[in-house]
Amino acid sequence: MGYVPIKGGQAAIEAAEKLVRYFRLRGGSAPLEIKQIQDQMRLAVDRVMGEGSLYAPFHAALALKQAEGDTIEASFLLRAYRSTLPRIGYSVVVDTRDMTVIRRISAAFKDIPGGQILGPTRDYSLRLLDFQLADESLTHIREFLSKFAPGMMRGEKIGTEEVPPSFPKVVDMLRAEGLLETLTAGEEAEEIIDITRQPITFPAPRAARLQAMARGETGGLMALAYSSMRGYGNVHPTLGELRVGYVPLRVYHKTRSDEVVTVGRVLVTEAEVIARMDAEEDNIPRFTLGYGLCFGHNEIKAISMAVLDRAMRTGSKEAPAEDEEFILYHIDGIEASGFTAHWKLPHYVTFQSVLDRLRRAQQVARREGEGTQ
Amino acid sequence: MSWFDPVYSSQRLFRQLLDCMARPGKIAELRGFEGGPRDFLYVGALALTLLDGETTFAAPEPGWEEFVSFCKFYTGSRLVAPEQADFVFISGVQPVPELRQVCRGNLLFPDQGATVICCVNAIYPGAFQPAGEGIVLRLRGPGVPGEQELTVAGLARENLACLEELNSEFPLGVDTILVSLQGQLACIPRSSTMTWS
Amino acid sequence: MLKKKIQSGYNFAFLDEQSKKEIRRRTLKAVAIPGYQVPFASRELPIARGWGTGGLQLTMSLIGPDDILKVIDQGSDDVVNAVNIRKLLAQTTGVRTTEDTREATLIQTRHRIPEEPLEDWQILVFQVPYPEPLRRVEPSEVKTREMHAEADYSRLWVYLYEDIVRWGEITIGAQYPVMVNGRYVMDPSPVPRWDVPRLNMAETLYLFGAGREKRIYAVPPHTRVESLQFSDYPFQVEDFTGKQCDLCGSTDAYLDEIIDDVTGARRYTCSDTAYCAKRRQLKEEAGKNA
Repeated sequence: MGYVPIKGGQAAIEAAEKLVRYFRLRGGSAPLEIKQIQDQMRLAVDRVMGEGSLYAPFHAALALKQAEGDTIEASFLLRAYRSTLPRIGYSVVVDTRDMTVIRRISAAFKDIPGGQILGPTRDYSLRLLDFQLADESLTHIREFLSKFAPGMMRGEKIGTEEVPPSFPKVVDMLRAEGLLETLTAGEEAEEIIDITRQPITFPAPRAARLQAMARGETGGLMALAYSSMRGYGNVHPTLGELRVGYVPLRVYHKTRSDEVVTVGRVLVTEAEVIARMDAEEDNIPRFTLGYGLCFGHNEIKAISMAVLDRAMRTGSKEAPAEDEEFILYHIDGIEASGFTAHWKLPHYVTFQSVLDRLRRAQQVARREGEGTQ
Repeated sequence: MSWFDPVYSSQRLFRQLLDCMARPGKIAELRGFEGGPRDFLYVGALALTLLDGETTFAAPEPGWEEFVSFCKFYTGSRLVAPEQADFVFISGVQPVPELRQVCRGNLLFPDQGATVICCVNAIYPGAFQPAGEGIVLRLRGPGVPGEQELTVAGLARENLACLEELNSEFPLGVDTILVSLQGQLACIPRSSTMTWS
Repeated sequence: MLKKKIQSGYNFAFLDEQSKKEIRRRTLKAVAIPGYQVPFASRELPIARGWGTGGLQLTMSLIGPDDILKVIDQGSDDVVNAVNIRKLLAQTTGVRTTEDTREATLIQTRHRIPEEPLEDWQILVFQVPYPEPLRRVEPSEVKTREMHAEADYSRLWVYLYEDIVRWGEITIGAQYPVMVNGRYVMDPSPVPRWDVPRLNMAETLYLFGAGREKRIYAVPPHTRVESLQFSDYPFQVEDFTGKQCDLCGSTDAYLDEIIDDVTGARRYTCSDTAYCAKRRQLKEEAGKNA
């Protein structure tokens, strides 16, 4: 018999898994330490935590190692791990006014109370490949740290060197002056659904939209937000405030339910964009606001979220970015990548079926062609 | 509740329930699934299988207090008014006026229609009327080849009429699970048309 | 004894009990409203979205220690997707698996219904990529849901009509839309048209799971399932006239078309490989006994 039906699928899968390992290791370099990834691939770890929807730097770094740096694959690993974890409870709503800020800027005002704090940013650096990094050694690192952060070299805790106080928010000042929309009663009363436990239906509550975006793929969010900024839509954002920093994570005490306990802190990026004016019920025009918040240090994502949040709130569906269904169904990196990859699965049964239809349609066309000649 | 395993007992009970929902009028035997407090052995097992903190329930009749606290404690389900409840527990013997208010879902989301869990005295296969106290139900529709007969004892005709009324505009409606004191179970999904005598 | 075989560190059938409960509640509603798509939250699994996670979540919420499981893709037990899914289920439940359709209590499938008839003690779980049959004519979920609510399927009928006008035939291959219980138009998942008639008035419960699109739907047994068709353009299954399986000789099974790597000629074999193997074995035994 010339043809051997597909057998040995299991053996092939196992061999492919071995090859993956081999291709990762065949260069013979020293193994990557998880700590190194956590420290030196900081932004990749943050991105994976956000898209993987789990704040776990160690696990995100491990996932990055396992995925050979593919952030979508790493996020998928983290999400799958997440769904095996028990849901212990929900945190108290975080107030970002309590944020310990490492970076905080506003594009709306030249100066803001508390000042513009650039923090760790490469926004204004020239994008020149730094060849010195190719030869970076432990000696270089120690030299730099002893000069830049002598306290840390003495064993003091990282991140507490010069903690700036918490600042008033720019949007609070605008709101106090009546220049900015107030939250609608409906939005404030909304029960926050957990989109991983309850299916989203449309129109989706704003909290569900923000949750879906916080899990969204950075590139996908950016492309859609960019379409709105370029002109498919009418948002015209001004960055009211962008903050990066640590927020305290608080939960209600398990048995004493009126008691709140701080269990840790989470690095987040928050963006508030001030957008075109709109009139509320009182007919007085005010600026509107778009909001974005995501895990880790990921400014592109937070700004894209805020732009899309505002775009979706317009209620019109004239531009793709204004259509919540369009946005929310297409920004999830895990879903989109899974489905894009699934075309690699065998489809020969369905192909046979369409082949049957094509042959039939060709027959019909030929018969008709003969008939008319 | 060592006698009702949250993993394995609820899986087995669910499969029986699914089989009966897919085959309206088919009777399953729940003996071995005693999950609830006294007088609520089997309906309690159903609650443990279906309810959790994301669901709401109602039990509008008097006499259900013990069951209500059982449900709240063991499933985390929230007690609400009958018109808001995902699950409505009633005893079928007496007419239950609250049944009229039960949620039938809407045309966009008919699945939001409630599940009514109705306790009866006994359920028998076929047309069988011991001492003439039972109602013979005849079901037709998806899941039934031709017509399915079963006899239910301890089910007020008013409640049947009310269920029929609730299900008169398919796909709107409620799905009913009948469960007897001895642990027989049968289902009447909204897709069934029902006659009785 | 059974529990020992289960991979430690994971719950029975992988999902946590609360997730199973949600899926079970939705499944009951799906059965009670045949052909209607019930939304569900859909958990992330260690298998990618689009690779059978909807079917898998249904199976995980159904399966018990006494089940005998069969998993197929394209009709075959040994295609990679089936292998992967079977491995995950076997590792997290310890249940017995089989290739024999007539032995399995629970069958998860991608793109086929097994050739051998299924009975009332079996459940067939379909993996569904596109649960929405109206997606061909309307991209918005909000709008298609309204169309279902109003039982307004006119645009789909127009689509079929235009297909005939343009091509002289309805050109839908697999994933042929059907009307369930005279109320809901349903996507039978990308099974070939060959399998569609077997949904009608069946003995078996059919459950459909779309993980990425987060929908569950069902066809209970003894339920009317009709292919959409026009009286002058009736629904047709794939045509295998004059063809037979190269391996078992079957002329009454869905066939895979294969291009011979040596001669380039077309050959055909059964897509249901377990059915094919069983037929060959029976033939062999009959040959020995003769």
